[in-house]
Amino acid sequence: MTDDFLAIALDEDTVLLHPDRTQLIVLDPWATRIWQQCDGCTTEDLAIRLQAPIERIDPTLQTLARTGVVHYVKDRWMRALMRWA
Amino acid sequence: MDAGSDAMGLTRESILRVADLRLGHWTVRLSGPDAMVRSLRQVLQPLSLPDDGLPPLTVTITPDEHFATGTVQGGVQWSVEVPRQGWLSVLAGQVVATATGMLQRLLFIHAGAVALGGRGWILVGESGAGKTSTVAAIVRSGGVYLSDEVALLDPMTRTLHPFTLPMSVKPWTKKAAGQLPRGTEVAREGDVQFLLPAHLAATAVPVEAFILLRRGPIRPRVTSISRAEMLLNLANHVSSFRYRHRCEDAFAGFGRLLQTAQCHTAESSSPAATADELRSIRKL
Repeated sequence: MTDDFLAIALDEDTVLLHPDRTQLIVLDPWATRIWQQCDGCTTEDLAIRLQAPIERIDPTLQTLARTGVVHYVKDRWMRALMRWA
Repeated sequence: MDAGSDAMGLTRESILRVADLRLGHWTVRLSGPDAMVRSLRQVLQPLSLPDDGLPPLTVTITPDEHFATGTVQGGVQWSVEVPRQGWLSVLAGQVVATATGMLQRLLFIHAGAVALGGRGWILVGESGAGKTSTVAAIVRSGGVYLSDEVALLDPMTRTLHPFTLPMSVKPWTKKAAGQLPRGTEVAREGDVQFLLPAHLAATAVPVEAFILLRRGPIRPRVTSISRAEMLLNLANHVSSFRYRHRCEDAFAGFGRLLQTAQCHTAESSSPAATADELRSIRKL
C-alpha cells in the first residue's frame, strides 16, 4: 500500500486518484487553493496567504484531512504525497 | 436402409465451421456450428483494431449450441451459457469485452462515437440513455459512424479510433432515432438488426467533445459541465477504469483527453432532437 495520490489539474479543479484505494477526489477551485498551500504552514498562515477568515478555511481543511489528501502534524498542515499525472 | 442408419446421418449439429478473422491487428478464431459462426463472423468482420499488442482470441461454441468459451494464449478467459435468444449480442459482447480488457496503451469507454466535421464526439450514458439512437440520428444526418458501443481512445495523440461493429438496432432504437442511417444489414437475430452504416470512419479523428446523455424532457437541454465532473462520470461507466492494472493509465489518459475537449450533458427523451441540438453546438 502507498499513500501516494496521482493528481491532474482540470481547469481550476484538481482531481486526485488514490490508486490503492481506487478512489477519486475532486477538489473545487477553493479546496485546490487551500490544498496547494499546505506545505507545512499553520491555519493562521493559510488565513494570511489566502486573505480569508479562519472560519472559512478550517472546515475545508477538516474535509481535506478526512479524505487523506492533507495531514495535520504538530499544528501544521502538509499535503499527502502526490505525483502529477 | 433402416431407420437406424438414417439417424446416423448428418444433422444441423454436425456441420461445424472454423473461421479465422483478421480484425485489423487482432486475430479472432471462431469454431462451432456453421450458422452461428457465419453470423458471428458477419457481425465482427467490420471491426479493425489498431495495433495494441492484442494476442489472438479463440472462440469455441459447442456443437449443441449451448456453451461457448473464449481462450487467449491457452488460458480460458470466459465461458458462457449461450442463450437461445440474443445469443449473437452475447457472443459479440464477449469478444468485444475480451479486446477491451486486453488493451495496453489505448483506452476504452462504453459509449457511442461519431465524427462531426472530422472531429470526434463521444456519447456516454447509462443503458437506455439513447446512445445508439442518438448515434443513428447523427449519422443519418451527415455524421460519420465510429461506434455505438465502444469509444476507443489514444490519449497520447488525443484521438478517437473507429470501432465499427454494426449498430445493434432494437425495435425501440428505430422508433427513438426516427429514420435509420443508410447502411447494410449484416445480420439479424430475433428482433435485433445489426446495421453497418454506410458512412464509416476509416481513420482516427481528433477528440472534440464528451457528451453525457441523460433522459430528460422532450426538448433537449445541453449544458456545459466542468472537465473534472466529466472525469468523475467517465470513471462511473464501464471503461478502462474498471481494470485495476489500468486505473492509473485511465486516470492520466482520460484526464489528458479532457484537457482539450468540450464537456456537456445532453438531457432529452428524444435522441433525434438531441442529435439536432448537438449538431447546432458543433456549428457555433
